[in-house]
Amino acid sequence: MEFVRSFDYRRNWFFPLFVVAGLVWLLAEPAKLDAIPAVGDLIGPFAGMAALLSLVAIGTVIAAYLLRPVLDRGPQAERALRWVGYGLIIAFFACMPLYVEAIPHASMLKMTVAIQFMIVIVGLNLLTGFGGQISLGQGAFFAIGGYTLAIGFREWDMPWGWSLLIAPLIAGVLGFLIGIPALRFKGPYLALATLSLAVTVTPLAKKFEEFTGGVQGVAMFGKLSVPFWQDNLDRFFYYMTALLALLVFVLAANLRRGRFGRALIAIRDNETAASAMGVNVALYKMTAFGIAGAFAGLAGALNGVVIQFVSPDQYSPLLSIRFLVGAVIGGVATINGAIIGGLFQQFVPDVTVSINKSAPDAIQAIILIVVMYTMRHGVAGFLQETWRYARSGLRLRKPGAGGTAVVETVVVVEREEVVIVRQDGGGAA
Amino acid sequence: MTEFIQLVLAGTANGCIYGLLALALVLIYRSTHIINFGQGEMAMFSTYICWSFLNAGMGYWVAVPLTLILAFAAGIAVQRVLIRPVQNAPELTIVIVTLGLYLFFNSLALWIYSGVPKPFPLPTGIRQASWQVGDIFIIPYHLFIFAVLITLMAVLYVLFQRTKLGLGLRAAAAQPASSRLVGINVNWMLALGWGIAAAAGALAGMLSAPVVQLEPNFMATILIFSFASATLGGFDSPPGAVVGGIAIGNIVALGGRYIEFIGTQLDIVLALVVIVAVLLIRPAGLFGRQVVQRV
Amino acid sequence: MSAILEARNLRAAYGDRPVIFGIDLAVPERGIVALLGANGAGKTTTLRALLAEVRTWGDVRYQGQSIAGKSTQDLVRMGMVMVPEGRGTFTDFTVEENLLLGAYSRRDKDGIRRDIERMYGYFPVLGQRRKQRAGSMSGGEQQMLAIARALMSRPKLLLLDEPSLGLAPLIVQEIFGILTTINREEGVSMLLVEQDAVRALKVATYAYLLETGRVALEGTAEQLAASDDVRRAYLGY
Ligand SMILES: Nc1ncnc2c1ncn2[C@@H]1O[C@H](COP(=O)(O)OP(=O)(O)O)[C@@H](O)[C@H]1O
Ligand SMILES: [Mg+2]
Repeated sequence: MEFVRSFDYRRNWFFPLFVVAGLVWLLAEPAKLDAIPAVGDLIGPFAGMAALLSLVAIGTVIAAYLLRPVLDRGPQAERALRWVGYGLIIAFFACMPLYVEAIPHASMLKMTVAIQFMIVIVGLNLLTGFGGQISLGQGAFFAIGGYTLAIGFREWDMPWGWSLLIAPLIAGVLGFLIGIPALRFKGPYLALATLSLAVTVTPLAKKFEEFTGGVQGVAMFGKLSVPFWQDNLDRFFYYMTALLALLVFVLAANLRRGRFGRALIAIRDNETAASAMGVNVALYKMTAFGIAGAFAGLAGALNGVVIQFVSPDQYSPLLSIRFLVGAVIGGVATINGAIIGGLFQQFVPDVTVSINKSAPDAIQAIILIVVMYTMRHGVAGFLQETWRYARSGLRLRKPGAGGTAVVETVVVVEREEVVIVRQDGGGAA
Repeated sequence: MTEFIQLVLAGTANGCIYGLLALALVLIYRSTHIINFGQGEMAMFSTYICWSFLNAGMGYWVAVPLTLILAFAAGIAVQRVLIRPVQNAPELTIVIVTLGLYLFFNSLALWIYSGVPKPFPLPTGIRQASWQVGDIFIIPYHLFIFAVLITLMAVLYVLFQRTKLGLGLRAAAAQPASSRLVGINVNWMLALGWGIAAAAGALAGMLSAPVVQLEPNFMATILIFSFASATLGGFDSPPGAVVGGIAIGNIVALGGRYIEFIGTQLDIVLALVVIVAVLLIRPAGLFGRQVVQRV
Repeated sequence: MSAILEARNLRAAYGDRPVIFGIDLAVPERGIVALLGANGAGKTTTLRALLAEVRTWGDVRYQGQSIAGKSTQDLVRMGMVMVPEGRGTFTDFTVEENLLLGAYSRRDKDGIRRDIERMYGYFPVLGQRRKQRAGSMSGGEQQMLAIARALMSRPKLLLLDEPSLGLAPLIVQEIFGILTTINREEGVSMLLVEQDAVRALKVATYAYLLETGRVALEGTAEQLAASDDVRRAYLGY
């Protein structure tokens, strides 16, 4: 299965389109657009996002240009620079309380939830992006996390901290086991089977009301004690979530870089060949399901802790779909894409819900389709591509001079597709 | 026994609707190897269109055919505009695009028609009251649904098996490369397949709307049951989809009544069990020929 | 003799990957031309390029008219028809349905019926199996079906891709016999891709030898059969 397809930047028409759309939005008076009902409402968010994206892309190009002297020193410098980048991202999240008020629509609580989304999405990226296993059922594991907390709290007065350990364990083991039937399913069938998993969560939770509290759910308001910052729960939960997320990201990045990641990618790209090479396909797939499940379980428990309320309707199938959508928009075959996906899933609905109750989903649907046509590797993939293009375009005056040469000289990074590209180049030569 | 027969009658009527939507899924899967996650929502939206016509004073027997034509055109448009560009893309991309369809139509319906359930009438000429035969009550509308399904099957049979267009449709679905070489416009055939599927789905929506309430999520559960039906019947077999649908309708009706644990709330679990069981035991389904795996 | 097909500087690529690097070739009206070459030389791709099935550049004239921008479907309508490598049988369809599919671009019902019977005349074995699932037939029968299917569209130019592949010598002989009959009696021109150079050079009047997407050698069939290079590399004697 050709899961990740290489794309040729030069043949894509969308970049100028984004730039133009963004500039139009920046220059035009938004009030004028508002005169058109509904359309005006919709154009705002779209153009806003396009503007944001094109600004970031332009920034990427400028950065690639300015940093040229450093980057040209070789791969080591490039790696060091990447660490600087990670440092900046971590610093951004670490200093959140300083400026969260200044960011429109943001609050500590919302940022916390966004980070929980990121945790789920990182798991999905491993499973779907690198492992090639489409899952529309991550909401089920998220629910397991939430209910581990809620049932523990209700039945045994379990301190909530325990749930952060137990939930990923249960969800992980369940994910691992669900990986067994999943071995038999391919592509859309797997999506279908996992979707039906997601669909059963709400009715099951309603059915077992002795444990789950049924439709009313389990409320824990004011009953979860924290060791410090009692007067600022939001901050406490934010840092706790962020630290755990950092852990998850480091773990995921290491898994991806190591033997596990290589095996997954091999399975994704050619299962038969991988298995012929001695990769234990079943074990790796199940492990991927387990890890993704554990991450989702952890996030679900964290979410329950932060919201302090767990009820069946929080875990509708739409939640699972949103996770996958976030992963895809961020960039499913990347680790960093999860950051973008999480922020997207938290804030785009939040911003657009003011237009109309159903605007978030409508807008997501349109963005989703547009992203699929224009940036098959999501926003993170798009930015990497931009970076790569800026680097090679700025270095080799004529990019057309030799397709293989460009690929050979650019050592990239996040997407494993490089391997594939090289094969092509080698074959043609 | 009376109750059992009663349940079977109701289950079969519901099953016909699952079968119709499953038929839509299968028509598309057969020709393009896509499972259209947006199928149910497209059907739901068509039903709303029909409701608008009815609401504007149009008669049932005008509004329904008109809606079917519009749904057919919309199906073609969706394939030409949205699906074709990603036809050869990785599976994930295609799944995501059809999920986009799901989200789009779902939210659009909510936006335009709000979440308040709308009343949807029985077809003009169909009585509300039931007939009593011995101890058993027969609901005329159930018979109507059954008759519609049989008619549609007959029409599709003639179309696919007895006409040149049908030959082209089947060939394009089975062997697109060879079809191109004999001069069949494969792209159009695939688009037509989407059109027919959309119309079949719309029919499922309009038939079930009088029974369940018309609201933006009303096709979501039906879609899952239809997935189960198509899986059971075999994703590449149109008759299988219909038989699977009737089977699932009965499994749900009887299971909900006779399995204590299931009740009325967990009928969806039955669908899940069927899907997983079929995929594990006989991935091709009852009537399917192909192996599930797409090589 | 004028040419039914004439290609100049024909190039073709799969995606970004060029495979054919500028081929000149011509098929005379009512003639049989052989296209030879080792595996992977680009023979199939050349045929697919002529039928606009891959990305193609160059100047191709069919019956004196440029066919740039025409789709596969248009070309089939115009009488340029391929018998694909691997036969392209509609496996789940009956033999008769396969023939009907071959005539998909035609509208004359009676003519189609008559042609089906004519095909059963050329290939009696197909007539015996008209209601049988085509996929269940032997390789040779499927090859005959593929040729009959192509003929059903009343082609003026047949592009045949390795019709002898995987068949027993006797069957191959039969098939080549029918091909020459059809060429002689119905005046169908043929561009014949073959690995079995001996046989191809026997029926063809002119031949091209492809090597990695370029014409390495061309000439009349006799010239090529006599060429030491060809003998050593492709004929094996
Ligand atoms: N679908 C395809 N995609 C990419 N490359 C292809 C494809 N088909 C063939 N090729 C390549 O094109 C070249 C010529 O192939 P082909 O025309 O099939 O050769 P021949 O028919 O002479 O054996 C080969 O190198 C082959 O690998
Ligand atoms: Mg070949």
